[in-house]
Amino acid sequence: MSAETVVETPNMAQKFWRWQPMTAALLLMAVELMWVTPWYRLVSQLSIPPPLWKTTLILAVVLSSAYLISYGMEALRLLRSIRLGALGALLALQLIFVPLALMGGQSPITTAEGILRLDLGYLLAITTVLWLWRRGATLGSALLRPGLAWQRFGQGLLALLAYSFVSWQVQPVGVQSQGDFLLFSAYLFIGLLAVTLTRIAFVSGSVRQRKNPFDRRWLLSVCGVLGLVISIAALVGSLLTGQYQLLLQAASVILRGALVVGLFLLSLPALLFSFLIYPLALLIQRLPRSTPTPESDLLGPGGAYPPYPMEASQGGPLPLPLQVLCLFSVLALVVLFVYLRTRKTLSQTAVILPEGPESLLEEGDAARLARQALQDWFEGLAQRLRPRARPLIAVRIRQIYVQLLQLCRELKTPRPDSATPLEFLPRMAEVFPDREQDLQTITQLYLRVRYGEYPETLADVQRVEAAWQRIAEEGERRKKNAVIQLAKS
Amino acid sequence: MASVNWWPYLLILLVFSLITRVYPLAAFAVMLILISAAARAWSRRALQLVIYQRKLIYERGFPGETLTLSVIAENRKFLPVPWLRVIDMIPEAVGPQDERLLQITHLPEMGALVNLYSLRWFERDRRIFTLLLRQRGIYRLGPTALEAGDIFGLFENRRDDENYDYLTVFPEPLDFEDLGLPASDPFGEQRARRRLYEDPNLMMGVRAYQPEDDFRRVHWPATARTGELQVKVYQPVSARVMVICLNVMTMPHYWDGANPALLEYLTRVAAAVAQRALADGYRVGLISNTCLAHADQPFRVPPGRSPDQLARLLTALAGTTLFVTSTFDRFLLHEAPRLPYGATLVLITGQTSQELREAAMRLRQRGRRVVLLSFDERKPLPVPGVTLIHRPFHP
Repeated sequence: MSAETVVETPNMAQKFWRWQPMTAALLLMAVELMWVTPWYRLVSQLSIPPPLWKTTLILAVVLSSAYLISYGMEALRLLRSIRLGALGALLALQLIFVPLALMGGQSPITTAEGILRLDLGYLLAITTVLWLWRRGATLGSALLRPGLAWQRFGQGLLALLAYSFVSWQVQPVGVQSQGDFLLFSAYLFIGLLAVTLTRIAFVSGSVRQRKNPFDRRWLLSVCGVLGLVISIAALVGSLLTGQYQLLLQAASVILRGALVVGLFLLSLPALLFSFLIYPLALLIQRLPRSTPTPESDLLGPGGAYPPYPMEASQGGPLPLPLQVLCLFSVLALVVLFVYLRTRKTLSQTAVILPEGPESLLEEGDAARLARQALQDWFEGLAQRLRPRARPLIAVRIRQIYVQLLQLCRELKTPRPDSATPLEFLPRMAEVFPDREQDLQTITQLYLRVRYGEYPETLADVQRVEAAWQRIAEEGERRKKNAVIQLAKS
Repeated sequence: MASVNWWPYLLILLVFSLITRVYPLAAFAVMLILISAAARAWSRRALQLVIYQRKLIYERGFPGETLTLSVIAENRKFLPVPWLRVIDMIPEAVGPQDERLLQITHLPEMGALVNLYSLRWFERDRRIFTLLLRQRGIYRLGPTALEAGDIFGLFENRRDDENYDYLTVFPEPLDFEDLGLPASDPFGEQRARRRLYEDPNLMMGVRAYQPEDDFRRVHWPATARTGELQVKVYQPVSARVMVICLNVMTMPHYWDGANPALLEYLTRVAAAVAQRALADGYRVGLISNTCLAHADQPFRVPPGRSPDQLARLLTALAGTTLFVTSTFDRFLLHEAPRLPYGATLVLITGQTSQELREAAMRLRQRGRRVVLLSFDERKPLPVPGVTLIHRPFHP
């Protein structure tokens, strides 16, 4: 592998990496709008409530124009005074026109009059414009670093939580909650994606390498995982707090939206190729048939069939839907063939290239490793729990030995203070001659627990308990016999 | 970035929302707690079972040559690593052929080779770089810093790996003819080439005792068997030994600083002499008044004539630094007892002081054969019994 295959010109390298900061900035602006717009609409209800789409669009223009001008000036490395002048001019224009646009011509007064009269709608609009202008300008001029993205995401999160609280207090129950739920989930998704992309843009800012690991597939994977995690969190959060109705409503809205988008995307090829399909359908209709059909009154002046609708007759051309289906099938086959060829070529190229990602898994490895990982996890869990169980086991064994000594004492065979457990074992065996094995078991395990450092197990406890049960029964019999003998005497 | 611990605030939010009965807010708090926990757990496990390694097919070469370096990052677990940044410290002298791939660091003459990866489960990513050997030396590649985080970009984790690889850049030997040494007898004493030594470990027979024989050579069992004094006959070994003594002190006094260009030249001269001597059948060793690179061991290569002796000598010369352990004259007198008797000492120096001349003379008086290769700008005074070759160094 020569160096030429790895190294490339800086322009090429930069081209590969450029989309990340731009996308991150775009997402950060979306994050900003996602909390500023609801707040603006909530507060402006006191004066003139503008429509949602209009408000969002106008505020987006304010934010993005400030960002673009600031970014452009920074890229051109112009003097600070020129930059400030351009941004100031933009602000002046925004302050003149944006409040008017937000009011939508419903207000009879101008911006200046609105300010002079301390009109709440105008003041709110001006404040919002100022805020967004500043946020856009600082975003354009600042180095896009994770701290900045995190700060903006956090501020927005706080604002959105506060908005939810206020909205819950102000609005009737059920009206805002559903929207809030969707808005919050969407905010989390876009905000976290923005933070991730900012980090990627930051860490890859000065790296020069040809292969970009953060490609489209990576972006799709990240979006998928983010969506999945947020969905699970939303599900768990709503279930834990009894907000399943909100979740279901939100889910139905999302599903409806997804259905609409899906249907649109499915019908998009038909819409795009409709100009092709129509003449083709006509051509198919004009194909010569084996048996002549009687002329129909439906024939037009040129002898052609009218385009649509048309009655399907036996022996005639295929109905139009079937023709379209055939055409799409052919197109699909062509696309499939091209896709398979491309995939095969790419896979061959991947084998030839000595660098790039490759899987460490061979066939059947995944299941084995998953099993192994699960087993390791369980073992780790058991390992973690074992130290807690050990003292309990030790306590139980010692407790049984104390009970055994108590029993011996009741049977007039107390253990002398000077006798060790092993020295006392023959004496106990004299008391319970049939249970010598059980006594040995209890004594040995007691010694291990009391003086040894051997790990004791649950099986040991079970053995000791079984032995103790047998000895205790024997001891009870002995005690009864002793009482009877005492009574007889 | 997200060093602030979210959880206390989120718990406060949860309790507050439950008290005020704003249940959607409670749901949001739970969502945030879950996401934060997932991010934290992901971040903590991101670098587990992630392995980064370098692979060099060749680890040594001459200046101007290129070597292929493969860097491999592996994720040996099911949890994917959304982003992984590997910062590998590489000396600029052996950096990638495209210098722009190496980023500037706070360390002098060191660059950072930064690689970004996104590893899925059980995935390996390999990158290949071409390193250009620019300057003589022994260079250490590493350490490596690995940075990774969670998929949400909230937390970051870092691990420093002390994985080192070494690259040796030999000195480019000068053309021996350019040194202008006498062609017939470049190392001083031709008659030494015929001198025979005997190895007492290799006995090849016995012969009758002669009056000049050492009494210790008497073979007593053979004497007893034959009834006449017999002495051992050892295997003759031709020992043409040369020890190159390199002076890394390039200024009259150590406080005057150093002349790196002169040192480079001296190492190239030493490499040329070693190469030629090995080709002529000498057993060649090397000593110098400096330390071995990346070690505190004295600079000493015992004489040898094995096939890899030249590589060993060149490796030692590659590690020559400007660090001086003692003055050359003291060093020579200190090392002289350790050098094999009968070895030709080739002193390569850029400074020929009075003390050095005296040391050379004392070595000569002890029966050493000494060749002094001086690259001093001033012509040194001749030393009796010492072959002096003066080739002033002009940078």
